[in-house]
Amino acid sequence: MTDTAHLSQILYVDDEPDLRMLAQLALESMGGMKVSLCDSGAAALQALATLKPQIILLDVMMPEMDGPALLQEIKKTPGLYNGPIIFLTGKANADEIVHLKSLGAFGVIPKPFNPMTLHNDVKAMWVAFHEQQ
Amino acid sequence: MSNNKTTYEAAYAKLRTAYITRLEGNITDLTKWIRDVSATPLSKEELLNMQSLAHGLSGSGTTFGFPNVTDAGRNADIFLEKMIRAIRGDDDFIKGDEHPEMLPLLQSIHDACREAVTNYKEQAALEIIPATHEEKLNFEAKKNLFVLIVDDDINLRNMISMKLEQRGFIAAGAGSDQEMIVSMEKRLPDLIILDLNLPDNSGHEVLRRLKSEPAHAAIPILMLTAAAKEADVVSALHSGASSYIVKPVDINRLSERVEKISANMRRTVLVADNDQLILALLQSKFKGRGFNVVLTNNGLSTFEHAQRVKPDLIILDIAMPGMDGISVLKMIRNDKKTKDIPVIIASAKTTPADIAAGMAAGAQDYVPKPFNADDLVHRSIALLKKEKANDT
Repeated sequence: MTDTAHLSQILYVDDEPDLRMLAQLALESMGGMKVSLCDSGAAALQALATLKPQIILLDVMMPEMDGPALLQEIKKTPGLYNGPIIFLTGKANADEIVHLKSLGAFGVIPKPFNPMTLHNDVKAMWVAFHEQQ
Repeated sequence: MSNNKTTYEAAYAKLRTAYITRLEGNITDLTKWIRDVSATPLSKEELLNMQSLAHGLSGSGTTFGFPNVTDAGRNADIFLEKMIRAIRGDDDFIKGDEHPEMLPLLQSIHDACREAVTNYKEQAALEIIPATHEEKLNFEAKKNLFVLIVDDDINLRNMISMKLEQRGFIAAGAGSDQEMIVSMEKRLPDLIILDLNLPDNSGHEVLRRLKSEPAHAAIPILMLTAAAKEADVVSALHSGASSYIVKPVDINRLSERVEKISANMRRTVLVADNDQLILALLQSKFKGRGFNVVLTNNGLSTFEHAQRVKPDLIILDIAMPGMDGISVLKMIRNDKKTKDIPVIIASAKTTPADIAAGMAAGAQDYVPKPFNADDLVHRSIALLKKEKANDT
């Protein structure tokens, strides 16, 4: 219960620098959260060795290791991260959402996201995750 | 919240400007592709480059307020993905003139980007820069200052909050050590008003803990004591409290004292970097901690700003147009008006020789890029505190 009340640590993984900056700005100033940024799957895996985010927001299409590949790496490594993984994708159609959830994603936020409401979307996912637990 | 919104909107405007610069770069690439697509066969690599650009635009355009860019990018992204699937190997080529959809799709992204850049520039031309910009910065800085009141007496907390909010501060209360910790996780205060006699943990212990944590040590603390016990006051000041007020609290004197302490905190930082995104991020982070922020993206104007504004601190990039950061730093150190201003270099040049050159030119600190903006702000505050201690 205390966990649901306080969402503060986010990890945002995206290869697009503009979107990383904007997502951080939107979530920190509008949502009062602390956002760590990674520009690739490899960087995210490295960061997770020390960071303990409460939610991971993950771009689907990235060069080298894409979002789904990173998710599989995270799930494969016991104790690395057990919280919800939310995908951000430009192809948020029903088939794609089912597919991403079957891989182990908790939810999907469509891209392009709205910076004014992104923090609400993320908070809603956080609450839903705890209701399901 | 409304205050966060102001900070957000200013930073968003900066990010949007940077996005426009990126679109201008994309227009250059698209113009070249449109020219070549019918004449030369396209390799898999070129198609992947096109798709990467189209995909990026489809995922970002609407976020920055340009839905046509997203639509055009998405159509091209879907088409190019099919083309890439159809290509048989790295040596295989696709002839653009055999795929009549190709040219109009590229053209439509080009036009959407062009339209976004034009609309943006027309809007920007209409915005008038206020003459009293510096005044405005001061007011905004004060509005940003966040005071946390830690006292178990809820009536006193509320009374102090109301008074400080009237004077333009943001105030919040905490009734215990635990509540204070929770509040500070949400937002670091710029000033703490701390009761020495808290129920769950003595104020002295809280004070010592705050002063021993690097992230909190720079926050000024105003102590409230139940009676003017000399030993208590001496011990509190010794532990790092900035000042004290004796209970029962005279609310007007308290708010004057807070104004006085915060006046010292309204310091100016000059940030020089040619990357608009870094400027926007640091502006938002420094403003959040009560600083006035002056920005520049050009080496030459950095020195002019330093002379004119006389900032308390300069964050300096090395690779900038106009003049490189090392030369700027040498000019700063050779000028009577600016020679004592502390400078932190933040640069992607990170070899030992680069760092040695920066420190030799007179930098106080050297932060390699990419940096964590929060860390840089903490370092800045610690450096300013050190400089102040050296002065007195």
